[in-house]
Amino acid sequence: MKFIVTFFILIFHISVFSQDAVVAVGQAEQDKDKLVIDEPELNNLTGDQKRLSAELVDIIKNDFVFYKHKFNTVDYSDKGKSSYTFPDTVKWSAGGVTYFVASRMDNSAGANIEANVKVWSLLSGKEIYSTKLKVSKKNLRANAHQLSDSIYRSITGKASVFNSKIFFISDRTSGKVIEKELYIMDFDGRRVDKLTNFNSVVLSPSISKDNSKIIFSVIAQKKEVTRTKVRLIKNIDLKMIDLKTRKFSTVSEKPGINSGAVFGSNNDIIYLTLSFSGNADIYELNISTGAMRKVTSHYSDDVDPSITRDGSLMTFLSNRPGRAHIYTMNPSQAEKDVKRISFVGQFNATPRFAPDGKEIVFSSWVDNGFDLYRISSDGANLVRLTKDFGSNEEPAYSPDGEFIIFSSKRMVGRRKSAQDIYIMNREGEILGQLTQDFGHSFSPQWTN
Amino acid sequence: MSTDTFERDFNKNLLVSLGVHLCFFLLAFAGGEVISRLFRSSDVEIIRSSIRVDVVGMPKFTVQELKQMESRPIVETGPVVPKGPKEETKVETEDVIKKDDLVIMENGKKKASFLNLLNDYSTKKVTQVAEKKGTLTGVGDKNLQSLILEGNRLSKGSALVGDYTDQENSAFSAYVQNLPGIIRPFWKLPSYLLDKNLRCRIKIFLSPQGKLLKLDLQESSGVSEFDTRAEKALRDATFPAPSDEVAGRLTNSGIILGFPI
Repeated sequence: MKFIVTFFILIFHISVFSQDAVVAVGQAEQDKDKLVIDEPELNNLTGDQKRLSAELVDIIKNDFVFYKHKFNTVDYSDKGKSSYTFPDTVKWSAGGVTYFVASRMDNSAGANIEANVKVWSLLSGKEIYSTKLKVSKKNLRANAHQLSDSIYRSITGKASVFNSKIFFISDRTSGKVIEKELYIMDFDGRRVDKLTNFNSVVLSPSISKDNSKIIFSVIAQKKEVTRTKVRLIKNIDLKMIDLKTRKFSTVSEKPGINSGAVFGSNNDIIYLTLSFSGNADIYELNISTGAMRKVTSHYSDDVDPSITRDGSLMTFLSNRPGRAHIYTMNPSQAEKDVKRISFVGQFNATPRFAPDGKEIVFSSWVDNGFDLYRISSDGANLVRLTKDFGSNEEPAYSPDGEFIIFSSKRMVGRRKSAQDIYIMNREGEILGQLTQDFGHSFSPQWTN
Repeated sequence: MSTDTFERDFNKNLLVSLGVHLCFFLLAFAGGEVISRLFRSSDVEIIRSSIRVDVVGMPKFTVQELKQMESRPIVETGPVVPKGPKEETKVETEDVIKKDDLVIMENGKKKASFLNLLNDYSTKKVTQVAEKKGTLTGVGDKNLQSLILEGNRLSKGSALVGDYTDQENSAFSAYVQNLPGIIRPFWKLPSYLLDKNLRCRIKIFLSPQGKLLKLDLQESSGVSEFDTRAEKALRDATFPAPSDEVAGRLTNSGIILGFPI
């Protein structure tokens, strides 16, 4: 009997005191990949083709500079040897290189070239990607971005921003009358194209999920005919452009504000601010059927909606607490799960979701201008992104969530100001200026 | 039946009943423990350091500035006070209350009464640890110290959110809760491993001087590169010497670290 009791007491003690604890170290930081984009092997090229080849490689190298938080791109001189035909993986690996891009440019018809590109992983010592692409002078930048994206995908398994576009509004054509028109450009600020010619003021552009349409507001002048007189009135109408056909259509022209529209989880549903009832509220509108539903229903003004990609969460701006603050809600029903997530800041504006819906970037008035901040969708982790860099507004995430574009305004003279589009990574490191000497450029948005 | 017989039988049955109940209790407890150990993963509790942060205004410093501050010593930003002649710090060598201080009364010197004991304590001088200039007290983690800035101010708050354990205030808990902050600067992954949701757990054994004695991979992530990076982080980290009461446990039993949890 004594033995049995002793046995159980022993088990009891062992089980109590042998309890293991696990200490959570937390998420790892990213270790930058050391990337080498080698000079290409030139295969029987003419002078023009050699220049085209050099430009192509320069654009690809410049593309990867945007991802400098992920890649440490280094020059690697191995003159006299062909890295494409005879890869020396042992040597690269010894130099700490993790990925190596080798290329060979072949002669193609006319002044074109055929770019053959290989990507080597020095971690596995294997070739992980190979492609060939005909490159023409006319499509040089598009071809280069396409190759950059292929290289990036082969390394990270994700799409890059290299093939994406940014659309924005600029007043560069303004004369005596202020004109603000819609433009589109490459992610790096090149190849700018004008999309609208309303000779009016275009506002708040937003693109459809399939990148085929851009919806925007425009200040329209209309004739109002009464029994006694005809007068001109201004109204903010909602219009849409088909990017393939470049044709316009009117989506909503209700009295008052028809603005701040964003696409929902599909191309038929938009969320916008309407003020026809006398109070600005957010509505859901089916642009195919015209069916409309009230999403916010409060006596305070609710504006500036932004929707997650799956359409399950909406963030918007509301002056319910007396000041403009950021809220989130489920847009499937009116006033469903409304939650205030910002509690500080004199005036907050333009909240925009990250592509994964986990965080929101917004601008807030500080001292004498706006600065950018980031906050988790549940209201935690408020951090500041910009400071002493002019007045920074209207931020928008890149489709991969790695970058944020925004407009920055600063005084360049006593009465003159400049406003341009800038790009930074999500940690607030400014990477560069995308527009320059292009009037006042603002309201940037990224394609999906 | 006489009263004595009844009492004897009653006591006997009571003892038997108590013994049987005790056996049932021990059997159920031990059996439950054995079963639960067989059907669960090796961990029982996860220690995560948690703090409450009260946001008192928009953050004054940007993410970039905070990162720079983390990588350099904290410089006091208050007004510069002219330095006067250096005062010698008086070190009390007598009648100082120390940790685990026991007052033993010498025979014949004083009467060992509770009143005398209190009087003794009341006359003792308590040493004050001089605050080091340029450092912030109250937060152990060096990285967190840089967050005690306007807009990112830490305060006690009125409620607690987070996972605390029973050992929170123990020396062991205090030591292990500092480990993530020590290891994290060396815990790095290449981009292609960051979003894979991998996890590994490694048991480490430390010498009384804080030297890493042994690594034992308890749970692999399935990706050798990930496990290797976690082990490298542990080898590169410099662990502080644990206190005497903790050293034995860290040397003999070790501590399991979860990457990331």
